[in-house]
Amino acid sequence: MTTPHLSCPVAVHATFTCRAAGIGALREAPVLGAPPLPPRFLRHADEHTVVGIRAVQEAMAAIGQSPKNPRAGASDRFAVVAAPCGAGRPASARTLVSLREGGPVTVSPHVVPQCSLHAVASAVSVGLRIHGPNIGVGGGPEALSEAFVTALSLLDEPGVEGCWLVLTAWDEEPVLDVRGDVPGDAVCRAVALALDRAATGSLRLSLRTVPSVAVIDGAATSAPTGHPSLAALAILLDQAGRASGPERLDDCDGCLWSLRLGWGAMVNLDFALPAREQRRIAA
Amino acid sequence: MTRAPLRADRSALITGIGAVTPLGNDFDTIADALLDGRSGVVEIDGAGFSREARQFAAPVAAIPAMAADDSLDRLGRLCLVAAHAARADAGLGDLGDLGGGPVAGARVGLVLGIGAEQLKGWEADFLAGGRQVFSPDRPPSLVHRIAAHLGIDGPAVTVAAACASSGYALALARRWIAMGLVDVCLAGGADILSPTGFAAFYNLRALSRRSDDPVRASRPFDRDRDGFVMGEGSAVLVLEARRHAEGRGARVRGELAGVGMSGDATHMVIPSDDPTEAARAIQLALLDAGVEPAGVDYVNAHAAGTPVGDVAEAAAIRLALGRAADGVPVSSTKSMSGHLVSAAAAFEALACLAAIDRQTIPPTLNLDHPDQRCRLDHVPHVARPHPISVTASNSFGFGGANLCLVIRRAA
Repeated sequence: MTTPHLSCPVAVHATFTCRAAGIGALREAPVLGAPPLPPRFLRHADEHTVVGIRAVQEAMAAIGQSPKNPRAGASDRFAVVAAPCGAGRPASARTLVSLREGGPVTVSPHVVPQCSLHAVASAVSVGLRIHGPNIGVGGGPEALSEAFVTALSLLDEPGVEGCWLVLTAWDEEPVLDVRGDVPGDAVCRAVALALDRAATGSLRLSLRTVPSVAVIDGAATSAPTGHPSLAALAILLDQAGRASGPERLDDCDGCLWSLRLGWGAMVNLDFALPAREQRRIAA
Repeated sequence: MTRAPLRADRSALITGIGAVTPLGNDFDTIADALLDGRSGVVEIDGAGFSREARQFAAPVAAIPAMAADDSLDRLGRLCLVAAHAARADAGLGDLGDLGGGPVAGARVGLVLGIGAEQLKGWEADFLAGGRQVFSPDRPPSLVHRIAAHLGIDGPAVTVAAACASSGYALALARRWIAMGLVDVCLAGGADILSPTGFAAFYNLRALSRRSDDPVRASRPFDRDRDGFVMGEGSAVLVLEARRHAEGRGARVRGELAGVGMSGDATHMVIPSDDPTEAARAIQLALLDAGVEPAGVDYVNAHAAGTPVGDVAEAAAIRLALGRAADGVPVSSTKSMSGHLVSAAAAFEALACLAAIDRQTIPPTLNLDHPDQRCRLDHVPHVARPHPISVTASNSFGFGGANLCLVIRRAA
């Protein structure tokens, strides 16, 4: 068994959160500096799609203001990998109630294209006119770990120039009411990372495998160890974004965030020190 | 980007096949059905979810029972049985027994293409009187439960690209092998007939509304087609690094030699009438496999029988293959299997392997009057004997997901 080490710079990232009560207003709200969506594009979209595409737009807007990464996010040959954790549940509940009470004629034709696992990735691709492959990943509590592996793997596919990795989740999975509606104070969160081989961003996403773990560790399973919190990752990314330099993150030794996968692999989000800074520390 | 080179010994060979489908539950039975032109479409009881007096579909007659499947729902049992059969077909024992088994020291992965696992699970529970859909509890995904059942110790991922889902699963598995992330990977997909699926696709006007004869309802590329016929089933292939397969003397059924993928980026449902991106997926797959358009011996089309989709695909095939298109036979096995949705791409990879194995192209049933906008070298009604070394299988999904797999005869 070889020990592949996949890594890619994160050209830009953005996080976005919204309470359920505010999601309706976002459906037609433009993001300054980002490519606009087609009119009424999000009318039937799932909550995860609304916040996920918003995070990508925020990231695009941010990169548009940075001369360091002129091509990131601009490439229409990026893949889109979206891992919505538990997406489509409110729409599914409404659909099932509707089917029971009104019969098949009342089932929305939008539930499959707009609320299935692929929907967030598809909406980012269609809404923002990105022509790489678009794939939904996960769907369950293991969505984060599955997304990182998939996104890093896709970067080697022919014709794929980079990847938008979009992660969405409710901070706490809400209890739905009898109609399938979400409590207004439930928080839906999204993180968007642009993985770009050609970028010079200070963040780097990597995956390392340790072959001995898979063979020797009898307890190793395909299930990841625990279910990491998207909120925790988002907070760290926000801190990194606000940091004026690497000294703000000295206490984590360059590694911003780690996720140990149950099958003998580790996903790391590293804060890469600029070369000048590395020389200073080495001295 | 640190890129792992695609070495010859990391190419992905297909060493095992497992399936539970409307046309049978093993490779030979399915191959016989496809080449005999037998349809799996029948009239089903649509009470409670169908708006038609007579509802047609391609169901799985019965899922073979397994000892370990008590905790799994119908979708899960389809996955488990197909994966188990694929493992056995590959001559692999208990994948958890790494100590002295045939995959000693190897890392084994699992990728399942399932587009609506959660919805199907919530639906089954709700229709049985449950309340899971309203609850915040989130059970583990099927892929992890299946991996645990099979003793798979490597990465396990669910991917979804609507009707192309299981094709993306195969593509990801191949990439993992090429990168050296795994030595063996089971990959495929599954889908089930369900009330909300029927109602949603019907209301989307994607389903055929024919109600005369079930066998004649699915008619890809035909002038009188009016939508697809829902099917269900599962198909899982064992992909294996060449070095590993040859090292254990595995029987090789074929090679997943190329993958191409792209996105239309035009509409959440309707395929683009500009064939550029769909053709690009085909061209990328051929390039990846090192195959010229004239070197393709058979195209298994996605062609589900929708008025718009079949025309778009025909244009994409012509654009991708150029002048060679006139001499490359094309058929749609959905005319027999119905549309297995998430499982369709993996099932159609199996159909390509059947064509290679039997050196015969499966037909497109009901292609009585080929649509003039779908000018291709069709194989209507009956199978056509033909030398086949290289096949291409197209899969397209909602959201403009385009995928092409090139499957080659084993060297």
